Amino acid sequence: MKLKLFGALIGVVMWHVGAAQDTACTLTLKGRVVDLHTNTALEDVAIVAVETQQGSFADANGKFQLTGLCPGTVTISVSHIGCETQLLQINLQRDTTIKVKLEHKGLQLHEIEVVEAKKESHSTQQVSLLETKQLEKLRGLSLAESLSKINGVSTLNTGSTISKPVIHGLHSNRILILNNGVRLEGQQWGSEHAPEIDPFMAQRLTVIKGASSLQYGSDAIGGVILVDPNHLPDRPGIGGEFNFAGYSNNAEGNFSATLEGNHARVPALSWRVQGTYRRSGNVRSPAYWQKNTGVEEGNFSAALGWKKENYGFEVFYSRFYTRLGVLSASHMGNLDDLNRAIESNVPLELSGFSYKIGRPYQNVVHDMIKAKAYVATGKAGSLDIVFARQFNLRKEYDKRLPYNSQLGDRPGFEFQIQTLTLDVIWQHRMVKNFNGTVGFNGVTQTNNFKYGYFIPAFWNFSGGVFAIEKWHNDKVEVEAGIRLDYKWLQAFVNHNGNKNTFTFNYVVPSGSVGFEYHITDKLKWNTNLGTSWRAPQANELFADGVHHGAASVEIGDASLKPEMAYNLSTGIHAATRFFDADVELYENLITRFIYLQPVLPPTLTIRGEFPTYHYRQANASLTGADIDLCAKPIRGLELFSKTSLLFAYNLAIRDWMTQMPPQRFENGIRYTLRDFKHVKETYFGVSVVNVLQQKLIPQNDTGYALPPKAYWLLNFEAGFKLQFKKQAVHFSVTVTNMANIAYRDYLDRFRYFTDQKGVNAALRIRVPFFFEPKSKAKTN
Amino acid sequence: MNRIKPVIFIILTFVTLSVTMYSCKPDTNTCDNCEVELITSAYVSLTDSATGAVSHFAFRDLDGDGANAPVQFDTIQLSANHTYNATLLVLDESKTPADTISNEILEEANDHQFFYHTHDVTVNFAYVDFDSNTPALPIGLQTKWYVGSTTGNGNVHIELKHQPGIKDGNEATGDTDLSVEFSTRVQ
Repeated sequence: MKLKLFGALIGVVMWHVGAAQDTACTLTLKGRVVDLHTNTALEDVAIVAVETQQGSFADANGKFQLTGLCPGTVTISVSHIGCETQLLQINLQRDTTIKVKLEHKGLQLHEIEVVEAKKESHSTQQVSLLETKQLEKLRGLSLAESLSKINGVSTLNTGSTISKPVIHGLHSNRILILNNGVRLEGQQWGSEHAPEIDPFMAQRLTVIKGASSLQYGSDAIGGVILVDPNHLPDRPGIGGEFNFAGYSNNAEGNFSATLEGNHARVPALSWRVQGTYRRSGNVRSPAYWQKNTGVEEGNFSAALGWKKENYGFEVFYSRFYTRLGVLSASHMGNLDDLNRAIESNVPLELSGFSYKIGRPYQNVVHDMIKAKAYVATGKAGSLDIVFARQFNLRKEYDKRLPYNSQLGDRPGFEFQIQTLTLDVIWQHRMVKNFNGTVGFNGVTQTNNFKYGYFIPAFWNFSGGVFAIEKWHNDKVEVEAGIRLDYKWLQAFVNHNGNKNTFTFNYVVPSGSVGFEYHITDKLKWNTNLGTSWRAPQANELFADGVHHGAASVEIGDASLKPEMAYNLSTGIHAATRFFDADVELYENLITRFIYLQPVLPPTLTIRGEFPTYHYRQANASLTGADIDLCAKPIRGLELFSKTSLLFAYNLAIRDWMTQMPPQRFENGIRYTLRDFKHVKETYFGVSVVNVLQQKLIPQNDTGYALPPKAYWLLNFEAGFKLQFKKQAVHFSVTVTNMANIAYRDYLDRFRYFTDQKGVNAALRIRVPFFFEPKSKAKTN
Repeated sequence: MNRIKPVIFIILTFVTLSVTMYSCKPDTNTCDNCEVELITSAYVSLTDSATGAVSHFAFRDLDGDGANAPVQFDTIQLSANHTYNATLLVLDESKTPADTISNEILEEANDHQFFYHTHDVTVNFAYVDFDSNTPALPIGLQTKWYVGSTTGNGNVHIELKHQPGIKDGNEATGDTDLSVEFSTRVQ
């Protein structure tokens, strides 16, 4: 009874984090003012952020700094004695350094150049970003495929239609995805359940590598992925962009459009609508077509915002819909079928090209509605509240129709999960070099299913409180935080005629400390020690049955305890004129890591014998390095090299862990041409990706075939921008697997059945547009 | 004070929202009527063509694909040099009443075929029933078993292949819906 009351309490005050940082007024704008002609520093220049009236003077070196700025368009006034005050507008999304070049006579504002935009505020952790320019080359790829461009991130695939991101060897429930600030909740436990995200919505993808429960709550053992659209426009006018991406391999077309606006008469109000449609047919491996690998996807989102100086609201709705084919040859009746499939060099069912999607396939709808409010609490700071409801409906259609034709064309499994999240975050302004955040976030969830049993119906409540404080001076930034989480889960297992109710309670503290030290302007060192935890999921607790496609029996264990991760990472980052280097090392020690252990004897069913796996726990150690090097010997030329190493060891059985990404290398060259008339930002490049055979596998691994051989892939990219006055059109072309190599990948669950995608050429066109209101046109 | 009002307003809004959306207990009776199709049991009925004597042998695994062991797994007893008329009954006994899957297989006869093999005993099998494909292909719910003269212990392996639209009389085609290897004694 007491417990229920507590549950109810949490239900009333639900919370959760992550959403807040985009309106947090903690950004720093640094800069230097120089004379355009002599390049010498200008001192005694007054710099004022007009909206907040924060001011600063450039020092003897021309340097200035404004702190505690809010994201969005900031108007900076630059004043000098005896000159007319000039205004310049900067779209500030994170800590930014600018260089202002002024022409001395009359102080004509000439040019601003963004020198460096700092990686978010998670500075002491390892953070990687993909922004507009890099995303432009990735349009049309899934979220996981896009993120795999980041060193240390790989993909876990189920054939060519389903991919999930893997950070430092961890995936699914061990990483957290924040979709527009809201924790994405679907059926992420399944390795064949891809994240329900439209990558076209994102203008920025951020990966925080390593344990980061502190701000984001439980499950962030491997890391966090932030998927962020741009802020709603605050400049009067109507704008947007149109995107097209076409792929040769599977005759895929992607169309995406965004329209947004703000009106001079109601400057507080802004809006955006965005939609994407994607269709692809069967995938071509070098030697054959993969039957039933088409995808159809349609996504839509709309946002409405009301922003005043001291408060604001935003309502956001998004719908993700996909219907994706699963390789026909992947469904296994029993172990003999599987062995036959492995022995065959080609999939046992082939076809020609087609857009048709037949059984087996998945049908997934993900709806999210989010309401957000923000209030400036005087000089003290700002308060953010985000409430969101997500509903995820997943239907999985088996290869075979029911024997009983009266049952019709129904799915084999249907899962429905509803998630409510509430985040309350208060951020205080800088006080004597300190700034910080306290927050409060919670989740309630209800899971139902129909048709086949795989995981039980359950509901849960969870919530956490945290506090993070940062201190910094010119050279050093120190960060520390603590968090306490509570989770209550009740599952109703109704299987094989037995009904049981299980209730679980978890109370887990976590924390993080870290620092960033700027050794020089061009060299910095950061180190972070963080912890994170994850409660066992419904499938790990209650799975009981055959997993087709793997032709194995998986058996859960209701006595599993939460996993706890202790993550130490350290990195050196150098950025010089001729050479950039990012070297990051990490050790992720996970206690009670949950994994599948093969057991004997195999399970005998009417379909024959199946190898059997039990969910077990053991301490595990994941050690690795991500090394990014880039040499720039002459202007425009870049030689780059990326290395990603991982050693994952099970400390209990003293052996390597299974299903971990093999060592991976990428080396390439990119050349950027000088602008020529209307043709700008022209570049081209080639790169070679080399993935080694995974040799670090457990000795008793009953994987049915050895890990696939090492492979190398040749990729090509090129792009340019056509600029006609204010209108730009961006073009890019990529060709992946140029040599049309037939290869298989260890992290593809269908590696037993089919080769990967062959050569694939893509053309992408992006057309941004903006129409200024006529009355306003002259003031700029 | 002006700054406090919106704070209170917003907090109240969210608390109201939370309360109204709070009570979401899942449907705990899901799958009381969940019609999952399973094959749990295979019954082999053998009628001795000489004596008319009928014997029954069964494989029954009531949790279907679950990890529990079969509850019944008989040894087939055959007499050397005898001929049997065999019928196969395939059931889903996880339901009450049991679902007769063999009727449904018969309805989809054009997509299904049973295959019979032996190890270490000699039995020759002949199909009795055929589907409506052109040319007609065997089904295998009804068969004739010709037992050889050697006595001893071995196995009879019965396999059901699901071959939707691709039925070709070939055992290697399609997915396996049933695969049972009965211990067999020929006396």
